[in-house]
Amino acid sequence: MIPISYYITVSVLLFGIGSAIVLTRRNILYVLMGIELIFNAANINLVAFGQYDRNLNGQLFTMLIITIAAAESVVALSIIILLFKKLNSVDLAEIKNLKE
Amino acid sequence: MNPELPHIVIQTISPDGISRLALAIFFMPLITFFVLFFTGKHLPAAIRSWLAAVVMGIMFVLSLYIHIQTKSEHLSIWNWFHIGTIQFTTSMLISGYSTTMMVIATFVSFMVHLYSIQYMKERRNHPKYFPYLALFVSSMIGIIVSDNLIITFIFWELVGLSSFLLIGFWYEKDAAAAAAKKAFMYNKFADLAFIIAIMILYTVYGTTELSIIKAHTNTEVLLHASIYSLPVLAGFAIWFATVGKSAQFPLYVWLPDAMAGPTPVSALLHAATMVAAGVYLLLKTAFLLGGWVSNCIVIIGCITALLPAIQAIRTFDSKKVLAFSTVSQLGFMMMAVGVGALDAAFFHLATHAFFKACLFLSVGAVIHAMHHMQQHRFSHGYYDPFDTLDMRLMGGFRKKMPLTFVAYIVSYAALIGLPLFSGFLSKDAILVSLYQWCTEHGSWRWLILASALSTVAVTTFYMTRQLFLIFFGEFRLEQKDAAYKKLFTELKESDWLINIPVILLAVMSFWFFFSLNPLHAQTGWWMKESFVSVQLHTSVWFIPLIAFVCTCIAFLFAAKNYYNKSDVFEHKNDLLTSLSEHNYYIERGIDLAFIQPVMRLSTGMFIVDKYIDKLIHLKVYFFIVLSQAANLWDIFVVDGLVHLVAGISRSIGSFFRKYLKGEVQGYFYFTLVAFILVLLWFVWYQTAA
Repeated sequence: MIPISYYITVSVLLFGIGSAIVLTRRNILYVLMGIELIFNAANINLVAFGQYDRNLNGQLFTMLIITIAAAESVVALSIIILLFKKLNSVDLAEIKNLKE
Repeated sequence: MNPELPHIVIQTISPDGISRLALAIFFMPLITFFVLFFTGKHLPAAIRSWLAAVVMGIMFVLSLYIHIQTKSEHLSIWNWFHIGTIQFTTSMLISGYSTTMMVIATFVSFMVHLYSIQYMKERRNHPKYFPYLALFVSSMIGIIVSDNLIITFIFWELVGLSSFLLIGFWYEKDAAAAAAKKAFMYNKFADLAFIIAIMILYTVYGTTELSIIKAHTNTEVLLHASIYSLPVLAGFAIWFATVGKSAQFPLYVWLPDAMAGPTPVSALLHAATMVAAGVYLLLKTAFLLGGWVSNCIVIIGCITALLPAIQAIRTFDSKKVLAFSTVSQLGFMMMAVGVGALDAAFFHLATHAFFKACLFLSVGAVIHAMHHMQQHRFSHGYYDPFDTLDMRLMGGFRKKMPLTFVAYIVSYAALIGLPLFSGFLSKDAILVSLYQWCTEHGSWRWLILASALSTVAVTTFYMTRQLFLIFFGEFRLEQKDAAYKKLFTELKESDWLINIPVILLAVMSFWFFFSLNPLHAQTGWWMKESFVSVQLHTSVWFIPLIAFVCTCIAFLFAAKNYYNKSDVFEHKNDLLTSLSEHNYYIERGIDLAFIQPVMRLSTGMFIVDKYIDKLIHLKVYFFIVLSQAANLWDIFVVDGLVHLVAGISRSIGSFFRKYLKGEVQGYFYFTLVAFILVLLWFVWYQTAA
C-alpha cells in the first residue's frame, strides 16, 4: 500500500501549482484552471484519508465534489463569457469591477 | 354646631292632575324655544311670531283653568339624583300664589307677544326674537312653580341669561351691548348671595326643599334670634339676591339702562318676568325674614322708592322714566314685604304688572310712530339721527293716537293711585300696612311712612310730566325740522295688533278686575287667598285720603309747570340734574370702592410680577451659562472620545483599503495568506498544548 505521505505530497504540490497559477496568470481562463487544480488537491486528500474510514465517506464525498465542480465550472465559464461580452477582454488586470 | 348634615328623609309625592298640567305649561314655551331657535330662519316671519303668540295664548287659558281648579296646595316631590347616600329631590308647588302669578305672567306675555308681532315685524334679527321671549317666559314659569331652591336658582339664572339676550337684542348699538352686560353683571353679583343662601340652608336643614324648610322653621324663634343666627343670615342672603333681580337701591342702576332693548321686552321685563321674580321669591321665603332683616328690607325699600322717583323728574328718555317708576314701585313692594304685609306686596305686584305693561306698550306705540317717521325720512334719502325715545321731541300725540292716549291715561291713573283704578287699591294697602307697622313699633319708622307718602307725590309729579310731554302741547319735532309736519298730520292710530294688547291691559287696570268695591281691596274675587287679608286696615281711612291729597297737589303742581310750556325742556344745570344723570353716583361709588382698589392692586401686582420676572431671568441666565459649559464638555470630551474610536476604525479600514483594488487575484492572495496564518496558528496551538 502506498504510504499516505505520498498522497499528501502530491496534494500539496497540486495546491501549490494551482495557487501559483491563480496568483500569477493574467488570463482568466488559466485562473479557472488553477482553481480546478486546487479542487483536485482537496479531492486527493479526501480520497487518501478516506481509506481509513470503513464506510468510505471520503470517497463518496469526493464523487459529490467532482459533480458539483463540473456544474460550478459551467457557471464560472458562463460568467467568463458574459464578462467577455461586456468588457471585450479576458485580462484580469482590466477586470476591477469588484471594487465598487 | 353639629358638623354632620342633618338627615331628613323626604317622601316623594307623585304629581296629581293639576301639577301635571302646570308642568305642561312650563314645557310649552321651552319646546317653543327649541323649535323656533333651530328652525326659525327657515320659517316665514308671520308663522314664527303667530306660533309663539298662540302658544302663549294656550298657556294663558291653561293657567286660568289651573287657577280656577286649585282649591288647596298641590305639592309634588320627585327624586332627582343621589350622591352616595344623599338623596336630592326636586319639587313643585301649585298654590294660590303660584297660580295667580302664572295667570299674570302668561297674560302679560301673551299681550306682549301679540304686540311684538307688529312691533318687531320690520326690525333686524327677527328670527331670534321670539325664541328668546319664549325662553324668558319659560324660566319665569319655572321660578313660579318650583319649590326647590336649586331648581329655582337654575331658572333664576336662566331669567338673567334671557334678559341679557333680550336687552342686548340690538347688540350692534353700543348702548344696548353695554346695558346687557351691565344688567348681567349686577344680577350675577347679587346671585352670589343666592348661592350662599342655598348653602346655608342646606347646612342647617339638610335639604333645599322650601316646603320642608318651612315646616322646620319657627318664625317666632327667628324674630328673636341673634344677628348671626344662620337661618336669619340665609334670609338676608336671599333678600340680597332679590336686590339685584328686583332692582333695589344700590344695584338698581342696571334697570334704567336696560331700556336699550326693544320696548315689548321692557314691558315683559318690568311687568311679569324679571323684576317680579325677585319679589315673588322673597314672598315665598318670607318665613326666613327675622327682625333686623325686615328692618333692613324696609329701609332699603324706602330709599329705592324715593330716589329713582326723584331721578325720573329730570329724565327726558320716555322709557327711562317708566323704568325709574318700576324701581320705585318695587321699593313699595319690598317695604310691604319688610313690614310683613305679604298679601299687600303680592297684590301690588299683580296690579303693577298690568298697568306697567300697559304704560310701556302705549309709550312703545308712540315710539313706534316716531321710529316710522324717522324711517320714512330715511327712505327719502335723508337720515336724521334724532333719539326716538326723547320726550322733548314728542308732544301732541293725544289727537293723533286717541286709543293709545286713553290706554295711557288709564294705566297712568292706576300708577299714581287714583280711586277707581287698581293702583289705588294696592298702593293704599301697602301704605296702610306701613301705618300699622309704625303705630306698633313707633320711633324712626314714621320717617319711612312720610318718605313713602312723599314718594306717592313725586310719582304723580313725574308721571304727569310725562303725560304732558308726550300727549299734550305741540309736536316739537316739527319745530326742529318742518319736514316732519306733513308726516305728523298724516299719522294714524297704530295697527290693531298693537292696540288690542294695550286696550286689554288698560281694562285690567280698572278696579273691578281686582276688587268689586272701588275704594277697598277686601272684596277681591279672582286672586283668592293671595289677596289682601281681611283683618288689615278696616279702621284706617285717612291714609288713602292723605295719599290722594298728595297726589292731587303734585298733579296740580306738575300741570302748572308742564302744560303747554316749551321752556321747561331746557337742560337745567343744577345738583338734582347731575345727581339723577349719574344715578346718585352709585356707579362712581362702586368704581371707587371696588374697581379702583382692584385696579391699584393689579398695578402693584404688576410691579411685583416684574421683579419676579427679573428673578426668573437671573435663574435663566445661570442655566444658560451652565449649559454653555456643558456644551463645551460635550463637544470636546464626549464627542472627542466617539471621534477617536471612529478614527481608529477608519484608519484601520483605510490601511486595508489600499491593498484591495478590485483585483480578483489580490483578494485570493489575501485569502491565501490568511489561510496560512490560521494554519500556522493552529499548528502552534497544537504543539503548545
